[in-house]
Amino acid sequence: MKKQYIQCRLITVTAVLAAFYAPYVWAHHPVSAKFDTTQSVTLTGRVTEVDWANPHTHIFMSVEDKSGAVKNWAIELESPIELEWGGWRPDTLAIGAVITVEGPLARNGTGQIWANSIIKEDGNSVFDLPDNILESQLGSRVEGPAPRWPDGHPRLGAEPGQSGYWSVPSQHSLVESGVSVAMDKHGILADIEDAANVAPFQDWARDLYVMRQQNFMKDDPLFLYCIPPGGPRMFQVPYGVQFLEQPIHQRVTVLMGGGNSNWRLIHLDGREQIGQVTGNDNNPLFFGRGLGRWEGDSFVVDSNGFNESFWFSNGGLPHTSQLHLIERFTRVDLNTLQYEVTIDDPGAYTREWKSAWTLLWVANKDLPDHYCQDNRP
Amino acid sequence: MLVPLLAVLGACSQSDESTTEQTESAVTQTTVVSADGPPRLEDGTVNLGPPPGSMGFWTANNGRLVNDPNNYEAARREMNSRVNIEDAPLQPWTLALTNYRQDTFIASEPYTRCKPAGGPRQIMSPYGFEIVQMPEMERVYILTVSNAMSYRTIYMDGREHPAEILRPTYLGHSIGHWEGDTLVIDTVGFSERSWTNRDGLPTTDKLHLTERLTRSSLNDMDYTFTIDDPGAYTAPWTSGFGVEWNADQEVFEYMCQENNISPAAMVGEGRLSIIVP
Repeated sequence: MKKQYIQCRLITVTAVLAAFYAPYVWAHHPVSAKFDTTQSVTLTGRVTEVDWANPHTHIFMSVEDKSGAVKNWAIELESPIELEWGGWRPDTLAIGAVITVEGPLARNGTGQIWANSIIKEDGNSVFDLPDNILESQLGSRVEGPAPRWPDGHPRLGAEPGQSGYWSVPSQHSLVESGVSVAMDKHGILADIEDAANVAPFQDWARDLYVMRQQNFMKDDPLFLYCIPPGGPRMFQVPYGVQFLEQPIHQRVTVLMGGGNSNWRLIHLDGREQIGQVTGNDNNPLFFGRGLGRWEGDSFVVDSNGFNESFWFSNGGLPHTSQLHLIERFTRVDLNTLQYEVTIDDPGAYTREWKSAWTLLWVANKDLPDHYCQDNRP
Repeated sequence: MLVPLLAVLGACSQSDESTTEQTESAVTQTTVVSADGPPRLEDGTVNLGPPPGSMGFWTANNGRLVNDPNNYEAARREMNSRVNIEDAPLQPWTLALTNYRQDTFIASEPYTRCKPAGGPRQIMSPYGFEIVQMPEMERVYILTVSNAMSYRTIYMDGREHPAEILRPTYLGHSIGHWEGDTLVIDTVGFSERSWTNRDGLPTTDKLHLTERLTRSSLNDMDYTFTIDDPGAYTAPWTSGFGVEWNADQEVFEYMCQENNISPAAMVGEGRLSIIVP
C-alpha cells in the first residue's frame, strides 16, 4: 500500500522524521517540486482518459461540484514502467469508472493532483506500489565472482549469452564520503542546517544548493526540460545503466535506461567524445569528454569539458565548467559494481572530494524503455 | 510565426553537410578491407560498424519513404526513394493527412519536439547513426545523434515479440536475424506519438515493419523496408534508399532539448502549461 505521508506536515513536528516519510516514488524529481505536499485533498470523479506514458502516467477525471459544474482534473502517478513492474496495466481503470483520489495539489493552481491513493467504488485500491519497487526487479539472485574477459578484466556487462544492467544505487544523492546527513530518496535534506556539511562548498555554491533545496528542486532542468543527467547523476538514476564493451574498437558505450535513453562513448585509446554539430572548440558537453583506461580491476574514466546547463547530481549540488571528474567502476562480484567519483571543481568547491556508492546487477533484463519527453509538449 | 518555425525545421533538417571534424590524433585503418565486399567481423559476419582502428558512421543519402512532389522540401532537396507517392498504396485519409502535413511544413512533427522515432525515421536521422553489434550479448544497437541521442535495441536471441504490447513505444520492439549478409529486423509495437518517417506519411500502431540492411562495401549500405500497416495503407509495400558511410568521423553528442526554441509555434501557447511533469 502506497504511503500517504505528507512530508512537510511532519517537518513542522520533527525534521528528522520527514526523511523517512516522504512519498516513496522513483520519479526523476520529488513530488514536492510540483505539488504542495503540506496539504492534501480528496476528490471523487469519473475516469475520462488514461495517458499511459513517461515520465508520468496521467489519469484524467471529471469531478462534479455541488453546483453541478464539471471540472476536468489530471491525476499524476509514477512512470508506467514502475506501474507495470507492480503488475498494473493501462486498462486497470475503465473509462467511466468512479474513483476517489487523495493527494497534494499542483502548486501552480492548475487542476492537477498527485495520487497518494486511488480507490475504486468497490473499495479496492489501484496503482499502489511497494516501497521496494526498484529492488523487485533484481529477482532471485545468483551469487558469484565477477565474470571476466579473456584478458582478465572484469566484465562490466553480462556474460556471453546473457543480459542485464545496473541499477538500485545504494545512495541517491551526492554527499562527501564519510559525511552522514539525513536526506530523503531525492536528496532533500531533512535539516537544511546540514547543507554546509554535504560537500566542501564554496560559499556561493553552498547558498545555491540551499536555495535549490528550499525550492524542492523545482528548477531542476532534468525535471523541467528533460536535460540529461550528466556526471555522477547518470549513475544514480532509477532506470539504470548498461555498459557495451567493444574491445575491437577500444571503447565502452554507456546506455541509460532513464532520461531520454541517451548514450555516451568512452574511448580507451586516448580519443575523446566528439561534441555537437559545431565540433570541439569551445563546445562543452552534457556528458563531458571522458577518457577510459583500466587500472587493475577498475575501469577509470577521466572526464572534463562539461557545460553548466545541467545538474550533475541528484539533490541539486552545483558544478561549473571547470568540473573534472575521475570515476572508478569496479565490479567486485557478479552482482555488485562499486562506483567511486572524485570531484575536482575549483569553481564550486574548496578542494577535491569523493563520493561512492554501489549499483546492483539486474540479471536477465534489458534497460527499461523510457523517454523523459514522452508525454511532454 | 512561421519564420522561427522554419528556422527550427531548418536546423533539424540538415542531412548533407557533415560538420564534425576529427580534431583528435589521426586514426588510421589498420585492417585491410576488401574492395569487393563489406568489412567483416572475425567470425565472418558483416561488420556494420567501423573496421577496427577506424571511425565512421552512417547517413541516409537523402533517403525518403517516397518521392513526393508535394513534400515541403521537394524544391530544395533531391528525394532518393525507390517509390513515388502515386504508386504507394495509401488509403484516402493517409494521403489527405500527408498533404495537410506538407502544407503546414510538418509543423506537428514530433521529431522537432525531440521525440525519438524508430524505423525509417531513425535511419533518415540527419546527423547520422551508428550500428553497434554485440554478438556475445545477442543484441544489435542503433545509436543516433539526433533523434533524442537515443538508441534502439534489436534482440538477436531468437525471441518472439511479446504476446501483448502494454505500452507502444517510439522505437517499437525489434527482433533481428541474419539472412546471409543482410540484417533483417522485424518490429511491432509502435506508438502513434511518433512518425516513423520524415515525410509526414502516417503510420498507425498496427504497423508491422520489416527492414533489411545490406552493407555491400565499406561505403555503401542498402536500406530496404516493407511497411505492413493495414491502418494506413491498403496493402503492404516496399521501398528503400541508400545509406552511406562517413569515414574518419564519429557520432557526436547532440541534445535536441538544449535550446529547442519556438515551442509555442509548435504546440501553441495554450498547450504549454497544461501538463509539465
